[in-house]
Amino acid sequence: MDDWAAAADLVRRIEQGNADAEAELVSRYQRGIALIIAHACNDRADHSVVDDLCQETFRIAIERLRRGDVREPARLSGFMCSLARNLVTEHYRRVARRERIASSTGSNAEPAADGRPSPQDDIEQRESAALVQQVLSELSTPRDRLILFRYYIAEDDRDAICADLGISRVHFNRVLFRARERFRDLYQRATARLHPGGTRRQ
Amino acid sequence: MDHAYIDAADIVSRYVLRRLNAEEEQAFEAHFVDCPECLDRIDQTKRLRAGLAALATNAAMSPSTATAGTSASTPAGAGMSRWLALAAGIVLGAALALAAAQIIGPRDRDRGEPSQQPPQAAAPSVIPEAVTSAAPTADPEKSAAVPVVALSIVRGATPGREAPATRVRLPEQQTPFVVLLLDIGAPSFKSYRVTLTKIDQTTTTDVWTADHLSPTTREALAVAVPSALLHPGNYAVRLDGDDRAGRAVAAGHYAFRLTP
Repeated sequence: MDDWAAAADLVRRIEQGNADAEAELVSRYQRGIALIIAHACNDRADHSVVDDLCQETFRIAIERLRRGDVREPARLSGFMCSLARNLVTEHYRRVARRERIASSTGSNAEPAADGRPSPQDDIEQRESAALVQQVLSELSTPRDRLILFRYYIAEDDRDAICADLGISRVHFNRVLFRARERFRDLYQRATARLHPGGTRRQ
Repeated sequence: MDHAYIDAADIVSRYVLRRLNAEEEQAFEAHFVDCPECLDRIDQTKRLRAGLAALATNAAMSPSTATAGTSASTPAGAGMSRWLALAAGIVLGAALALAAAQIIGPRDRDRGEPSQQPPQAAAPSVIPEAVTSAAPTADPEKSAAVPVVALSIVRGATPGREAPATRVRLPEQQTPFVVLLLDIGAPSFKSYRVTLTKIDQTTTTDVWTADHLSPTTREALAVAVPSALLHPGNYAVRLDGDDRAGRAVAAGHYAFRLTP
């Protein structure tokens, strides 16, 4: 069964009231939907906001699927993504409305929690930095370190970096690929060491 | 969208860097939403980038970087925000200093007099194209560290002609640019515009501006200003955010005084 047929089958089973199919929907899309919501929030929303929006996405999706409201069952992934993005848009409209009301009434209401890193974020950022430091130290030349910095932090264009440094796209891609792979390797090892048998928040 | 195309077009990194157009972004999201392989790659790329940003921020705040270039004194009681304190507490290498040292290239033609018009940053970059070097220096480790000036938002009124409380001494050994690290608190905008204004007794002149800037970390935005544009005197920095309709919304004001 290909992906589209599998999606259509999942939709059909949910429509028939199959609870296992609903659990399968959540299991299949949970990680991706959380990532899309976090991305749509510019990766700066409080985790509880992302969790709430994620939960709301699945609540609405399951309601609509049960009612048979999804017109193209094979395009289930697209449906889930659109739903998540729309909920993020709606969330920020509500936040903006609240802020407008608060400023017009001079309310001292607590500001939204969005934007501040949690203690867990802080720890993860330190861990990532330490791993990145090791990746950087293993790169063969200072130029390769510069490539990573300019691409991921300075956000310079790939072609501009290649032209400035006199390197080919192949070399550029190779450096990025090796850095990512090495980082993944180190990260997986660190995760296994620090959280044996457990999983981390994605 | 398939994996061959995703690899060839560097879709994962471009998604993380928010460089896909709306159509590409939606197509990729519809693909990765249930693709564990792509989800892993996005996750690792985000972590790699966050680690690089943390290294860069820490390098910006490390005493070695500050003493090598310039000194900035902040007003008593202004206090460093949580991210600065955190960054200062992390023991990390000077990745930014190293990278920046290599960016300081022998491009003398870019170090002339400032133009009459404020130069525009062509790309959404913390390093203006004018100061990026075509080739690494012969011994980048021995190059001068780039001065980094951390600025906190000025509360209350827009900075005027009164002397700013934050004073920055220009380094003896000139570098092609100075990094301004703006504390933006909780970011509310996807992209920002920064305008640097020189304030004299009778005139104010916009000397530099850059737009389409993304926050460098969750709470800070770094911009590199060509040193050639900076002379002793008072400066104001205006930060505007681009709202969803593309309008500029005031997001913060900063001020500092450059001393010889």
